[in-house]
Amino acid sequence: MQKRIACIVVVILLQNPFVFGQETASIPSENNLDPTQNRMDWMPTLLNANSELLFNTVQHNGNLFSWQLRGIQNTAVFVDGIHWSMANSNWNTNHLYQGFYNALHSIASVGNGVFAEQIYYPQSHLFYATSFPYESKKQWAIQTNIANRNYGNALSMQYHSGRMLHDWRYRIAGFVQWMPPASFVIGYKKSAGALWSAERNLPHRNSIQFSLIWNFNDQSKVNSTLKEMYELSGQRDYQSNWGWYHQKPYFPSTSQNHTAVVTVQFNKKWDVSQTMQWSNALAFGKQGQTSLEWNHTADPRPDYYRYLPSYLPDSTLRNTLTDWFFQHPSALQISFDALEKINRASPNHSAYYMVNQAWNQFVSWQGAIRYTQNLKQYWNFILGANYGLDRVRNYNQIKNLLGGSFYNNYNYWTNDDGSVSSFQNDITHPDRKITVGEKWGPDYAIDAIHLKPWLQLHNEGPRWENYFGMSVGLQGFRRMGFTINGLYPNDQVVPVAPIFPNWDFKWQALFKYSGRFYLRAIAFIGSTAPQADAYFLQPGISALPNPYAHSLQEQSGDLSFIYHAPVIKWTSSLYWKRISNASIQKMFYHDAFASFVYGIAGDLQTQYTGWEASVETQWIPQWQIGWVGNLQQNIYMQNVPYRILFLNDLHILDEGILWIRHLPASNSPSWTQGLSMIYQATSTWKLGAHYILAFQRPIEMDLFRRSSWVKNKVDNLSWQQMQQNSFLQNQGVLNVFVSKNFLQKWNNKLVKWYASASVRNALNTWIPVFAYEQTRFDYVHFNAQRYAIKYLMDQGLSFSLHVQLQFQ
Amino acid sequence: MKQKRNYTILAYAIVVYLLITAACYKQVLPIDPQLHMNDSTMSIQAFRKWHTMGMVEWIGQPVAIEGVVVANDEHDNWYKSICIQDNTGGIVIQMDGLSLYQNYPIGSLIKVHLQHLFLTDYRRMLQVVADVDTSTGSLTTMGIPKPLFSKFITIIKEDAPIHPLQVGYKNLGDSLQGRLIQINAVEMSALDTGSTYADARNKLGASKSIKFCTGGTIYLRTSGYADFAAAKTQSGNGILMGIYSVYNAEKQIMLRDTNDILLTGKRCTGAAWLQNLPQNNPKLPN
Repeated sequence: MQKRIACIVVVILLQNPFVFGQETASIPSENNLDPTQNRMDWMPTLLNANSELLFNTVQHNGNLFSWQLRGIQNTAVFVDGIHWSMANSNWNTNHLYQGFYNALHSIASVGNGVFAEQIYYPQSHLFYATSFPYESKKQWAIQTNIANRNYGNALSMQYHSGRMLHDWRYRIAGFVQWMPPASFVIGYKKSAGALWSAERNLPHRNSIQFSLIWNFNDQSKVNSTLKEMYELSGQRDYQSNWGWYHQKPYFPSTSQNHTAVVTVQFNKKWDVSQTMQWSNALAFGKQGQTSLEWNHTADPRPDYYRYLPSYLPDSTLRNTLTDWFFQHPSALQISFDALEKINRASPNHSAYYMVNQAWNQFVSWQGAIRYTQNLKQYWNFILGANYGLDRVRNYNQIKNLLGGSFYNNYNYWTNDDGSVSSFQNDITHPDRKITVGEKWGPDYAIDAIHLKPWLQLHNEGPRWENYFGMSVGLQGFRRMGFTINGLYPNDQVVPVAPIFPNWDFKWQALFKYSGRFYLRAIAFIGSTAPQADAYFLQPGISALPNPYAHSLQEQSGDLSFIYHAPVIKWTSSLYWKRISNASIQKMFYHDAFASFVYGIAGDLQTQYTGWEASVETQWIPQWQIGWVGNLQQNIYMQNVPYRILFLNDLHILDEGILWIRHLPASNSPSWTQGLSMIYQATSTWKLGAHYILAFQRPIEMDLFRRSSWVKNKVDNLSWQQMQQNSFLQNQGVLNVFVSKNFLQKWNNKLVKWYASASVRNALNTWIPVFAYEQTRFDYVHFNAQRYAIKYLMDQGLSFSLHVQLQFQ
Repeated sequence: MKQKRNYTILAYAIVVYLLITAACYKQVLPIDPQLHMNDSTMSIQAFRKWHTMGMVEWIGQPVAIEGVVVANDEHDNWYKSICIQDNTGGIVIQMDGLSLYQNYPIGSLIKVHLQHLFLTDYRRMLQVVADVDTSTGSLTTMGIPKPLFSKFITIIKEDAPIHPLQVGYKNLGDSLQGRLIQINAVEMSALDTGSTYADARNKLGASKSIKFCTGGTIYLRTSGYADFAAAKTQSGNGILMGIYSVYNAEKQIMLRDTNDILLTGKRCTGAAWLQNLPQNNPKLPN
């Protein structure tokens, strides 16, 4: 779930109308033009001018429906040549440049697994951007963004020095974002950052570039809840994870990011056909999340199923409770004053409730080198390598004891087996009483290392263009424990770590029937090492691996038809992708065993097939009309083995088969269409509207509900219902925008104004952004309604205003 | 031209101001303290008289009872219920929540607003519940839902004094249900000494015979979930404090915790039994 919410945050960041990558058209560079291409039989490749209508529509307007191209989120962002993605998945690399997406300068964007000119990357969508100076003239820019919903307000500035003494140029940028607490139901946001980057041209056509980025963010988190809660509150942006504390709103669920990134890049250019780029970056800082924790006390969540009218069998009492919630909306939020009272009244003032701060403190060194060489007339190759080394230390601190004096350093998830040490988080310091700011709970680090050399070969002929890419590398990680947990007293440090090979091959062929008609085929096969969090079963307390964790095997193919004429652009693709060997693991409370368990499953095989198309026309002057469509089938291909393990000693409580064959493997809509209309009234005025329709949006399934345990205990009818797909309602959304730009002279300086206003979900439709089955299930009575589906609702009609001033 | 530009800037500034300062959040008021102000308070004894054994009474009038919490779920011998008593009697309040002791510790003086609740009995033990269901042929009850605790229950004050009622065997009767009582000169039957209060491993409750030296037996009932279920019973003679309850015709007493029992004196044997007197009668801590 956290990954999903993080993913949404990334999408929200990326959908800001001024993020890099929106205008993805890239003009063929001078280096790419070859005089020999003036032959009569040579068909030019003009596809680079394609603005990727489908991808932009999905990125900026499709996220409301969890629309994922190819059914799976697979976007790689390269900043200054570095791709911050590695085996250590305990920190969110997307947050490194949080708030800076305005300041990053887009260099290239490609989709659908197409080869990029800059770098070889095996999979789908790729952004390539830079934080270095990119303007050759002195320039000031200031911009502000105001929104009434989750974007909040933002102010940012940027300064380019232009060419200076000794061929230096530099760039300064900064931003602040804020959303005042209590002004918005969803919480608060405070964010700030600064960027300094410089470039110097060196002799012999070499250059060196530096950048230093500092980033701070503190914001409340949104959470999903039951449909019943939205109905009781009457608010689509209802959040169950906050409450009132001393007559002020208090948000226990928050996330933090304190990051610094230092990057150095060296560029060497022997001649037009021979270049090298070497980037090294160091990132350090910490990311955190806070959450309300409790033990041996009542569940404080207002959306706990037992507290809701739907739990009550009697209609009179149900109505009484419903009326009570309508009359007392404060009962739908957490009462922190009540929790404080309970803590204060407890024996010795130990806290039953407290707010925990989980930290991921990281240091990461990442590098990338690439060497480009044009061979003969029609050949070029890029040789490169990505490498990295990082450590993430994970620990908890008490943030707020809510009136209590201390918190016991116990593992309250452990099932009480009578052993005096099993629940101790640290047996070398047992029964420690923790106060605010002190560490408690698991304290461990994951070290990860990877090295991935790669090669990309490109051949261009009169009718054919061929790309071939491959990479072969290694990835490894290890867990280091800094405390000895009571459940695993002999498992503190595991110096020997697994090493996994990574490899992949990709081929792309483009047939140029004419300057307008193209056929393109892409094939891919590869093996990817598991992430650390998939490998270790419970890294907080031991280094035991998940027995189902293996390298992922992936094969995919793509066939596209492209037509580019001056007034119409038409692209149509058929694709197929299969990912094998995946595993899942989760900890949950199992009602039948009345204890916390681990559910693990392996050998998952998913298949993503579909068709994508986009048409863009300019038949009518001043009107740009586009249509995109997408049919997807994303399913599990086979039933898979599973085990339920007792949390304390991992003995097998249950094992069997998860009956998931042909069930949905993604919650991306099965059928989606989008219509966009942009009217260019004058050279400075632009109006636009996008309408997206999504059909058959699967509700994300909990796979363990489809286990042999359930199959053997429920009647046939109930089982058949569980084997059927559940979809959300078919829905549409309308987004509109207007923009205006103009130029002015002021004190002999050129001033560029750019202003825009956008309205999102203009029809104010109630749209679930996603929905999923809870992990907890009634494994005793198999009442499917007991732990109902959870939703995250879109916030409805929202607007954003943006003004940018640029002085040159 | 300049003036026009100024107006544009001013308009933009106003929009900025409104967006930043306009609060779209509805300030939520706390629960109305005036709620149930008109409820008339009656004694628990008078309230209990409304009940006919085996029947269910729906309470339509705006009435309330006041009582001190004398038992709760702190040691898990009580589950989803509390016992309150006033000077006239006691009663069980069923509440559908866990860790009730944190909100309703022993000694809390509370007021229970009874309108729209039910008065019923479980095996002749009277209780206040929020819902009853007879559709299955047997009576199923439900406690007050947790979000409605504040609707039906008001805490008047904490740390109200509690005085257990000292009673002899002959005084035990239904009027004592739900009350904290103290019985003196009692001991476990020989068969029940040295055993555990209940079966903690299998979470099964148990009843132990408590003999009065003066004659008569009451049963010490303990839940298998009680945190003292695995503790050994005492073998001596002494005094015992607990909540009086019944299970059909069986008279029972339920401990709040093991501080309620002190059977360390000499058992009623030989001359003591004949004289109906225990020897070295101990005292419970206050």
